[in-house]
Amino acid sequence: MYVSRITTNYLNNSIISNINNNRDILLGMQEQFISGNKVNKPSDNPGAASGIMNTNTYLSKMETYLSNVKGAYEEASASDSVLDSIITKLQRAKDLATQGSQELNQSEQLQMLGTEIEEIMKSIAQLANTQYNSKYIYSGINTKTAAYSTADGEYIYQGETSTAEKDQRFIQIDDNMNISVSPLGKDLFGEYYTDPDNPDNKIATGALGDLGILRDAMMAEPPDYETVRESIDKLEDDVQHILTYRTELGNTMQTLTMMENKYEDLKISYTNQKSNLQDVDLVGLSSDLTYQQMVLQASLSIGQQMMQPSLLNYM
Amino acid sequence: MSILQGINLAQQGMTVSQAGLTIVSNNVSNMNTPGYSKQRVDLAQGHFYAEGGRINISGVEVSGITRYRDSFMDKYYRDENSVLSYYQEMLNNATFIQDCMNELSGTGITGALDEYYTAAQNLMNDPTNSVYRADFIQKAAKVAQEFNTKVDSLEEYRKTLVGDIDDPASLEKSQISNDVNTVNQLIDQIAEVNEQIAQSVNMGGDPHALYDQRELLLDELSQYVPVKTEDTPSGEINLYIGDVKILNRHEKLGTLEVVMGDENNPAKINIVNEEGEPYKIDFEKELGSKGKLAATLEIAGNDSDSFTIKGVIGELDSLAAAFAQSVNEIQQYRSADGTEASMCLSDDGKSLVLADEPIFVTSDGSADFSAKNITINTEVLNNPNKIATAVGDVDPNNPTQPLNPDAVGNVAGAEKFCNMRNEAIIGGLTSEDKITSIISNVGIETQKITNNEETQYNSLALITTQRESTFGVNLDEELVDLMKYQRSYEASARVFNVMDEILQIITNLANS
Repeated sequence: MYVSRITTNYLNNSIISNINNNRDILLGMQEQFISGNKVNKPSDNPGAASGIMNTNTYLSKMETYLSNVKGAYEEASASDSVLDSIITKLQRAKDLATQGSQELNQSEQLQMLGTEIEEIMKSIAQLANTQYNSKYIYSGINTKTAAYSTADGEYIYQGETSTAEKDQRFIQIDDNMNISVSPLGKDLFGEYYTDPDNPDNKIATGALGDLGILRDAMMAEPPDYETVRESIDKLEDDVQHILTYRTELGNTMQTLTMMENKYEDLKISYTNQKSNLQDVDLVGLSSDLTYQQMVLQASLSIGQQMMQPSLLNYM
Repeated sequence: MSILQGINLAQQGMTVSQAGLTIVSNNVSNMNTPGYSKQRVDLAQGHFYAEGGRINISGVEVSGITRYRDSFMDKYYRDENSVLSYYQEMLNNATFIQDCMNELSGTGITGALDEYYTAAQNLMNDPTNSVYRADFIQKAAKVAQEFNTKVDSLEEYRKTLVGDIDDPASLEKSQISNDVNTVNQLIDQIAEVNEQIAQSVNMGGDPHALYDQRELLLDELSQYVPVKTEDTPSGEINLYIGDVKILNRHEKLGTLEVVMGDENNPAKINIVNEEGEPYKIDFEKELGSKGKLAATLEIAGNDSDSFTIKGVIGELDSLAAAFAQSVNEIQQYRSADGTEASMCLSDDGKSLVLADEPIFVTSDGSADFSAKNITINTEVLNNPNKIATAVGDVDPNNPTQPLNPDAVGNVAGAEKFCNMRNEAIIGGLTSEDKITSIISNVGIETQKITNNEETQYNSLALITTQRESTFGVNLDEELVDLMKYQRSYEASARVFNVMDEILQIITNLANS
């Protein structure tokens, strides 16, 4: 039979090292409790650590895209209400044209109608010069330039005219998804001005062009009833053109709302994922902690009992 | 057998018992002395012969004192102790590196990168907003600072371990110099004890206390370096560190010396002989993966296979360089045919001009970026209008001017800054993936070392137990011996008493 000598020092050392072990485990649990994290340093669980850091990145991206989406939505709805006012103005112009198309009208009356058309043009140009967040929304990327100059009854577009993709103003709403909520004013509202190469000729496009022609026809002496009548249909077309864009804008706003919901959902799911990786299970940990405290107490009391007896007690 | 012989025998018994009691009391009083080996009295019976009906007995004698020691166990223990010290030192250092690189709560480089990319998004949403522009460039500056801080604290730590070649005074104050001094002192002490042992043995002694003292010194030495010993007839030992003989009995063959190395290994260890001539160059290679010295040199060295401070700094360097280059490329973009260029705002912020200032520059004027020298270009920091938020066509008639200077809302440049977040800029990883991978690698290495340390600690604990059970003092054993010798002393005294009575009877007979 092999009897190993259990020396007194060995006994003491092993009791102390066991108690230390138990305290160490307890300390680790307390650290988890206090920080609320089960992974406090990368070596606790390298896999979970990189997961936590990746989730942090995703979450931050979500936050940014979410705020971008919200910003884009606000700009789009600002644009939407501008377009709404412009449509109302154009409809008023159409009514005026209908009114003026009767040859019964005196030329003085047509003069008055013409003046009102002039006012409508001014307010459309003013609306087109709307700023959102100190940016001109219908000037493309020339955000610091007003869309229209309105001097001398001429309405000249001064913003960016290129429709190439690189000249668009984008808002990023996903890793590879940009959205533009700022159309070029020229395409939407047109222009009306004297051709610099030929002073007898007028350049007239879009709603402003049609309004300019209408205004000039009404102001002419004698009034050009034929042209006034023709502009009724043209103005109707202009309203349709803006309405078509407004529908597109509505679709974009719907997409934005959808994206917003998607990001809100993703945020919750990533937060959950992070919590699973990082947060302690308090219930489980409490019961483990209670158990570990018991183990420590047991090791203390057993240790005390083991150190006490020796032959010395019986001599 | 004569009566007087009986008295003699009783006296011998008492003397032997007294010797036993002395050893017991020595054992008990030294039971907590580190390195003390339990001793035991060896008894032998005296000669015995019978001659014509008479017996002659010479009783009992102390034949020697045995020291409980197992030299195989000692060597085994020291070997494993060197390995444990190696892992403990690795763990200490790895823990520091890990603490330095712990960014789980979203601080440090990770946090700075996150803030930087968020600022880039704001910039894209509103490139003419001066607050966003200033924020973007400050967040870029913060990324550079975080890189600098990390590398500074890692390098500072490495300096305390092995010194820095640019600061010669730091080598003397370094941990490696301290440890080498301790090793040299221990070797001196062992040589001295060797000499005392030789003298004592020469005079026929058996110097137990000196043997114990030497074992203790060897144990301590094994923490720093791998130790081998060789017994000699004089009771002295020859001492080897690794495979290099350092003590021939009490004659010292060499002294360890720390010398300055190169950038990769700032400290090197040579052994010089008593005349100061080199005895063994590049001694650190002999150490292997044993002992504290080997661990310090390894973690402060540049071995690409092991976990080193330099390795972590190298990873940070490559990330910082890739990051700075990618940002500067966006900032200073020119298309190959020269028709497109990156553009920033003019000083008054009202129009576009071609961008030429880089965002990051090196603080030491070097062409290559590193985590230590990456720094923000103060030209751009002081004038955030210089951030290239736009990419546009160059005026064909005047290549230094944009075709459309009014396009201040052009965000093609800012978009590139944002998209860089998702682009693989270094080894197939994005900037944020890379820092995550650096940090989790530190975690994996630290975990590996922790596990090794734990395993080695447990295995050494087992060896310590076995060793302790050989040479340690067991109080119960000593108390039993105490009783044993006390009783035998009492018995011998009793025998003496009886003999005395018999002698008295005989004396009285003669009187009557």
